[in-house]
Amino acid sequence: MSVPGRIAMAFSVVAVVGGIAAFGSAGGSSAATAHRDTHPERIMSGREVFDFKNLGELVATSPVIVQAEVVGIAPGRTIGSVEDGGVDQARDVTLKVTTSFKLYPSIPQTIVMEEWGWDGSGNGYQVENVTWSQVGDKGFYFLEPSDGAGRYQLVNTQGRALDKGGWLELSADPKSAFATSFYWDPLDLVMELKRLTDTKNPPADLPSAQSEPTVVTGDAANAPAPAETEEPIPGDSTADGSEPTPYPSPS
Amino acid sequence: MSPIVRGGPGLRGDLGARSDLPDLRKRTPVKFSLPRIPAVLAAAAALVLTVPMSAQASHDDKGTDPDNRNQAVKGFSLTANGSTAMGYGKAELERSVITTSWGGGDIEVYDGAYGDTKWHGRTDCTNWNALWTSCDIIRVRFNTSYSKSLNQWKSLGCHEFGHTGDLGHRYSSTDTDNNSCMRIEIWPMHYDQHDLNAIAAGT
Repeated sequence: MSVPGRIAMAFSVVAVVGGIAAFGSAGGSSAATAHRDTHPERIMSGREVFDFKNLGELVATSPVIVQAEVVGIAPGRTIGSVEDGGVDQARDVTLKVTTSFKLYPSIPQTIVMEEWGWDGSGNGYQVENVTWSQVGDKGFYFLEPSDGAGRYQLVNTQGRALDKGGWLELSADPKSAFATSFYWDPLDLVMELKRLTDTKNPPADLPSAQSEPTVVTGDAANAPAPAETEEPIPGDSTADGSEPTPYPSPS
Repeated sequence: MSPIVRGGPGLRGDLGARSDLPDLRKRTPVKFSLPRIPAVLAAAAALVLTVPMSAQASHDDKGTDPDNRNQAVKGFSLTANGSTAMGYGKAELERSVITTSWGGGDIEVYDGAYGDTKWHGRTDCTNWNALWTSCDIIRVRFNTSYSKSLNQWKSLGCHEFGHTGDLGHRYSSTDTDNNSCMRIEIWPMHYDQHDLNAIAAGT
């Protein structure tokens, strides 16, 4: 091979090796256990327990509501196993609370919120529309205690509104009823949350909290569910899947 | 999910009829043209390899795009409820353009007492294709920590398998007849025609 040919070949090797290295370091399925992505590589979808249609439902169901700033992020607890489908590691997001709308003053000035996360290979994922928190984020957090000791989690993926300087970036699906009914800016939201959480003068328009599902453990978690005679759907559902909702939907 | 296109016409070698670019097809081959080809290919490959890791987070909020319309389903040590959900979800997916079979390599199903996590089920991609445009192995997980009726388990199977067919969530505003299992707050047990059409369009 000629000299220019060798040079070209060398460049090709460097390029391929460089590309592979970059891929592996930032999102590939490297087996290195110490590796953790700095950005989520994928989105995890699913069915949640709660789905709020408006701010009132979210406020009523959330035991803890704070306005806070993210001051730290660190790897958190690890859960799961290969048998369960894999290991997940939380991101511990430290929030410096500036205003507590519920449970004041029992909420400490600094709390840790778990968000997800990394898989067993350190590949990052975000859940639904909840982008990874960054140090310096400011916003409103609708929380509940998590299974992690002394830690909190968003009550659902609709439970965060980041203050973007005059407007709020919701973690809710933009197409959801919650997002389409939400019209507050940061200052207005503070006033609305104070109104909705006023224990001395409870607002008449505050809806009831959504009911929690029954948590089962041990053998009960593995017991076959009882059969039903009725499908658990509203009475106006066509139920059989044959009634076409226009596609694409008009709205 | 909209396909993610990485690299423009230049990477694909499609110069088309653009008048602002030289017509490489008419060029006289130069002496060292052969070594240049792997170099260009390598550079292109390196570019492709380095792009994906920041792109996945910008996915829309729909489901996971399977890499083909023939999906093998395999459950791993499932409980009776998990098996019910898997079997029902597979059967519902079969109603769409996706053909299913039993076996590993496409949809892998797990269940477990994941705790008071506030989710009943989750679906994600654990192994993307080379260009990260669709998913080779999709993972489904069912949470047994929350008590559910038999039909709710079936609805959950329908829901999570809908995500494996690239479906996103439905809301009352777009499912006025309340008959899509892709809803969150109610438990319908089937895909409606909208869902079936969306699977056909998205996979």
